[in-house]
Amino acid sequence: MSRILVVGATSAIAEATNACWRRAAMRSILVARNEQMLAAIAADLTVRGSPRVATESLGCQRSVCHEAMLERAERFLGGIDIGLIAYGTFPIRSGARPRWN
Amino acid sequence: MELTVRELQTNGHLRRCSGHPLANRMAQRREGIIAAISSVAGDRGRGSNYVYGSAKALVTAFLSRPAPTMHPCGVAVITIKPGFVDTPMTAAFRKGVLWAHPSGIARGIVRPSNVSAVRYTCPGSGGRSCSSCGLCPRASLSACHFSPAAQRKNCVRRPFNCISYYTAPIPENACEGSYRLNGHHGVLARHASLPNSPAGERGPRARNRAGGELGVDGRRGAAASRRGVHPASPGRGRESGRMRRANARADGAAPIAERLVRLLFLLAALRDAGARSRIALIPYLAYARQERRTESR
Repeated sequence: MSRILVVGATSAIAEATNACWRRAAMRSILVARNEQMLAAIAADLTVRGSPRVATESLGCQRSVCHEAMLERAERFLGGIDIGLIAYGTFPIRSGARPRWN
Repeated sequence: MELTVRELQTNGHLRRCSGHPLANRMAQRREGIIAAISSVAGDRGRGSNYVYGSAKALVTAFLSRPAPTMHPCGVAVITIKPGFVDTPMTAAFRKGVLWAHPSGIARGIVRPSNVSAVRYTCPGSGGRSCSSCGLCPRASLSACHFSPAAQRKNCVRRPFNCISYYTAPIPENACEGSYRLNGHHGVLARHASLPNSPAGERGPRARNRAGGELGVDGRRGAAASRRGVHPASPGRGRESGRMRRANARADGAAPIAERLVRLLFLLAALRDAGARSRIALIPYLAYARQERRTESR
């Protein structure tokens, strides 16, 4: 039984990983930008048997926000055993390609 | 340019924000596992998405340092590098044989032995591994097997800090030191010793052992290798049953180029898993040559 923090919980890989962890996790806290998706994923996990799931919305890139989020996560979980960092974006190819001339 | 900076910030800087304070907190408690998802796109620059690759390279490089540093503190830092994964993020891409489903990657994250080609024991672990998954306890993120006390007891000197998931399907019957993929049999030799042989054993005796494992005569295999011919090539005398079956499968549905690419991906995965040397015994592929006649003239 573990206490799990997932940052970027709306990512497909994180969602699938959470599904694998749903029975073993004692408590888990999901962090992501999109609150609606986060709520849907948390509700789905709860229905499927996750003991205690909390969500935390975080769209801020400042490290202070992350510290505060971790503080709240530790309070909820009572210590973090596993931290899965799964967020990321994939740029649109044409837009992310710099012009060399 | 703005987009490039934004991508680097999102994929790289943000990870630092989350990862660093989390590692510090875990180090204070002297236990915990941090798993961060990077990408094989960070291994080298690619023509189409090198901005993404650069950000992921930053992540991989950033996490490579905490891994050995945090290990004495009881914190394992694991970098997960999936290959091509069919997610909403990659919805615009044309999918191929090398693409995996997120659930497969998730199973690998939770318990690497589910997808790992090699039941890999960390160097320095003295052969001790998790009784449940057969891997180094630190490599397993399975919540049900997570036990800090057990981890400390089985603590290894060097952490298993990087899992690369190339999306080639991995056979379930792969065991330590050997693999079989779509009809290809192979031997993984770690620390310059062949599997099932005493540490450091080399030469003809070890070769025979490896040959025995694969069902081929090692001496004959070595001689055939010198001739540039695989000993189990079709129609070349007494092949073993296993290799004959392998060749039968090799003649099956998947194109030869596809199987070769999968094999190369697997070899890369073995390298990333820590194998110091890799020996691939590849079936005779002469029938893939262009001058091969398939019909009578």
